[in-house]
Amino acid sequence: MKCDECAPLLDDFLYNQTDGATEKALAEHLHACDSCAREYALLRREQELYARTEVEIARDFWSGVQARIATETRSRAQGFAGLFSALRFAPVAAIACLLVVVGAVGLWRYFSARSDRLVTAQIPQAPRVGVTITSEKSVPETKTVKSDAVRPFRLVSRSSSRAYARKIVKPVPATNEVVENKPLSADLDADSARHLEQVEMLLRSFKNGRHSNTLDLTYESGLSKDLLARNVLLRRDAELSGDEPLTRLLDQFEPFLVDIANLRDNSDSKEIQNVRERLTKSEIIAAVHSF
Amino acid sequence: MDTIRLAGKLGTFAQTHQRGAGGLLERAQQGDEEAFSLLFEQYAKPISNFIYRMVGRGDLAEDLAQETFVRAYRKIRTLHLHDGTQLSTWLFSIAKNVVRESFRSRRMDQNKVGIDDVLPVSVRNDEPAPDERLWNKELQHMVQQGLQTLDPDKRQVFILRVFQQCSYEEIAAITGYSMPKLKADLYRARTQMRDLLRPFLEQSNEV
Repeated sequence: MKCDECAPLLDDFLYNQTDGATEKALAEHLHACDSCAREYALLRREQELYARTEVEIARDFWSGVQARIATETRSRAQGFAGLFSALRFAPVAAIACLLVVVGAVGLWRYFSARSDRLVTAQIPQAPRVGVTITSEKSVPETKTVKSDAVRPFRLVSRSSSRAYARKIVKPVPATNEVVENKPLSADLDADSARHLEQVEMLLRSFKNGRHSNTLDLTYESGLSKDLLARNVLLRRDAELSGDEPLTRLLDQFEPFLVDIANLRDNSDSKEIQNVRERLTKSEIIAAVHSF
Repeated sequence: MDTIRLAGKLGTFAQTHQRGAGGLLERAQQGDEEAFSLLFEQYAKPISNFIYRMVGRGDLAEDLAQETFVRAYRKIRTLHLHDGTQLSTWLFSIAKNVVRESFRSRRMDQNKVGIDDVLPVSVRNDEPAPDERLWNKELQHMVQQGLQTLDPDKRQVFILRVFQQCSYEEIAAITGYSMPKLKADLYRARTQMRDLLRPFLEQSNEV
């Protein structure tokens, strides 16, 4: 690899966004070329400085988001309620309209019938002609099929619409592999499923991350502690209920959660790399993903 | 669960949260607020950082970041991820639009950043020594001021690349810019920021 090929790829290399062959070629070139190696070192130092300027968010940030969403949902519901309150006189108004319409139709029929009688009276000798209507026309039979998938639109409360939506949505596994690997005893409850998702996310994040600054470790270490505590409880429950596959899986998590929880801001990169390599070798992430 | 296709390698953050999010996404689209929180709470810090670096004011950044998530909640029902589009890309696009609207409506002077506008770092038990804290604060101020001297296009690209480590493809999807423009903007932004950072680079060498 030449310098002019290497230079544009340095930041891809820094962010671990190169493929295997390119990464190898870049590493070899940086080993051999002082000028590119200096440029790369400068990029890394800049990146370390920028990482120091990362800001933390307020602890109540997310509760602020939730409050705003809740306010918006409430005001939407109040809008509907307002609509309903405006329509509370609707039945009375509807009945009044119906009476008016019925009265109007009745009057129209009365007067049109009266004018017919007058016309008939004026032509007393007109022959009566009967018209026979054959009723052989075939009306295609329409089959009414009740479909659960199609329902008339109606206003429902959020909770019942959610229940309704849940009813018609059937969870479909993405691949056959997942179905075949599904353990016999596992119909996971919501808590266990959520826990597995969060552990998978943490382990994947840790395995793939480049820990060039200390702030990331603090967050992941804290999260790992929380997940570890929950893991212990869920494992115990799984043991008591005789769910062996789940027990085994949760058991496999604990060493990794302990290691990540124990990592501190002054842990050296070897320690971090060690945990990452064990994560890769154990294939725990693939196991939880297919569970 | 993996119904979303990935386009090339992602930044660490997006890759972490893309897989395993399929079920949560469906639930969030059906109005499940808990699923929405589980899915998006992890993006709170990156989005806040992105917006803060764009607007340069802590109070405004928090407000705009919250607005980003509220809009995401409104729009998620009609979200269709396709052709390798990522959830993070979609969210950053919303953030970008929120910032742009803020620029238009508030007509901020984008070049002025006061030392007090710098967002505080959270207090931890293992906080750095006071002189290091001051150095960090000065660095943060310099970086923020430097970012405000970049025009918004370059600033956006620089923040997404350097601070969020998004790939060029992701940045193109978020901003709508072409690859040549992205790379040119990034090169110019890096050069400009490097000049400002030179004193800190030299000091960090000495440490």
